[in-house]
Amino acid sequence: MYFFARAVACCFRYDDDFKKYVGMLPEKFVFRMRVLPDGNAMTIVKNGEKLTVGSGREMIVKPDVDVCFKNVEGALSFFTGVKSFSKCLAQSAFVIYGDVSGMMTVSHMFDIVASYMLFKSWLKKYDRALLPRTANVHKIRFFTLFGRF
Amino acid sequence: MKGSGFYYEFYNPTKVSAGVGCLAKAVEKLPSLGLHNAFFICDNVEKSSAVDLVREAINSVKVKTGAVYVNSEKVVSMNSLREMRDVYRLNNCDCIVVSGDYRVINTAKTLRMLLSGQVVRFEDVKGIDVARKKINVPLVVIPTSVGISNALTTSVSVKDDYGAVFSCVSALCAPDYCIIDPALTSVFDAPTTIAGATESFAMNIEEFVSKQAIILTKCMNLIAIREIRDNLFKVVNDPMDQHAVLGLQKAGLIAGVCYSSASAGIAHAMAGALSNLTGRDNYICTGIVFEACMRYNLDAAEKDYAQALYYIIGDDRYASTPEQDLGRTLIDTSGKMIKELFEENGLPTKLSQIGIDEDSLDKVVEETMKSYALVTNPKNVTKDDVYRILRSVM
Repeated sequence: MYFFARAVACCFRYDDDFKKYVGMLPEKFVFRMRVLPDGNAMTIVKNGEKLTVGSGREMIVKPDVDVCFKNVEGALSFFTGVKSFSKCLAQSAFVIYGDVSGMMTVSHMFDIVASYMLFKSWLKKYDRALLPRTANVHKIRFFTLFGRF
Repeated sequence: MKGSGFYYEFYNPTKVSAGVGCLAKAVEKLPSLGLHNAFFICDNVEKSSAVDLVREAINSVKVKTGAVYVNSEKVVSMNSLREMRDVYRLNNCDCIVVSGDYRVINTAKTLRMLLSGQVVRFEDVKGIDVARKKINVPLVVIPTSVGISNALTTSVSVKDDYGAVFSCVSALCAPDYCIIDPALTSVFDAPTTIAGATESFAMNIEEFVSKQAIILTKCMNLIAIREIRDNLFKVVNDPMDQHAVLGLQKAGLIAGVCYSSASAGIAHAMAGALSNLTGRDNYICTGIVFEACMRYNLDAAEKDYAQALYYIIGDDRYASTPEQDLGRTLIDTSGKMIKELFEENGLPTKLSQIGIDEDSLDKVVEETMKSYALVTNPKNVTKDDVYRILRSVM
């Protein structure tokens, strides 16, 4: 989850498609993803032109969309690239509190992150049939691992 | 949770009574279910004799209609819901009985979710699988139209105080009892019936090729497609043929049952967006975009289309069609059928006819991309794809 959050921040810096989807979100949009009952969490906050990615420990009254994985197994299959966000959603791996349409935009954003992070051979097996991205791919992978946020 | 190919969920808690003239017999069971004082929701009472029939039948088995609420909003608003909740509590009702087309059924399902979850603000149940049952509020659905696919689904749409439409998915939306009597549909005109049947057909095809389709839903979808093939033209020729109407209703029912597991696809996502923007029926919008959406999905769903074709054209034509053309033949056949039926009955076949022009495309695309139905479409949908499909049916 830690590296996924870093990858989201990197994609926002370097990918134009990703920025377009962020532009579709309403101002001050807060997205939180966590593992029930009290596991790890991450937050994405849209603040003007900025996208802030946090650890879920911030003081947030109520996120606009709160995705709660029902168990660790479901979360693991998503964060290790075994299943896409949409597949997890279709298989009821999580409960979603909040605006479903906002969550769909986030789902498209996560597809872009996956298309950068997963290797070509892995993408072929992935359930979303995503095309591998070539522009800035090394930069995004490098900054995800070693960048400062 | 096992591997992705081995895991699925299927949920349908609804008891169904269906048959020609089954209303009188089916309502006899209501008192034994503990229902005595019903909150009755219906659509336009003045025009509809079907609603009177239903009320009479309910009253004849000593179930009171403690309150009657008339609602014909396409998407129910929060104000109406609050009003209905207050009326329900004031009259000490113990169940909800709804009779009408898909609009009022959506309203009743939403109200039931609100009441049985004892929800104070609807924002608290916004989302997927959020609402929890606290008290039992039985819901009885008696549809009076052919397009009844939403009667058994587990999702609802609500308009909030600012006019924005949002959807909720919850098991609480599914009714406890559904009574289907084709005698109640006789008041509807031919275009409504045809649009409803087209929507059922589109929904069954989309569920059949859905990414989340399972063997259980696939079998049901094929049977539903066959029912539509057998009965659609009988109803076109004779709208009073009740056995044929029942066949179409059964197909719609199956589409609704399968929706909770298989969901739909891009055609329904687009139809929802178009319907919200233009105010036209969801059924008509589905009919307009369906062929173009099938063509878009062809490379990802060709095998499934080929399989479904057998249930549409029958043995002889299927055997004489070259294997590589099977998928395309399904699209051509069903596209032609829908177009002809729509034109004959004065229904629109182009987006320009329902008031969509090049300037409003951006709004439609944005709404489509937010739709939950895109999750299970066989192909990953991008904004450019949606633009391309919409322009092809302008």
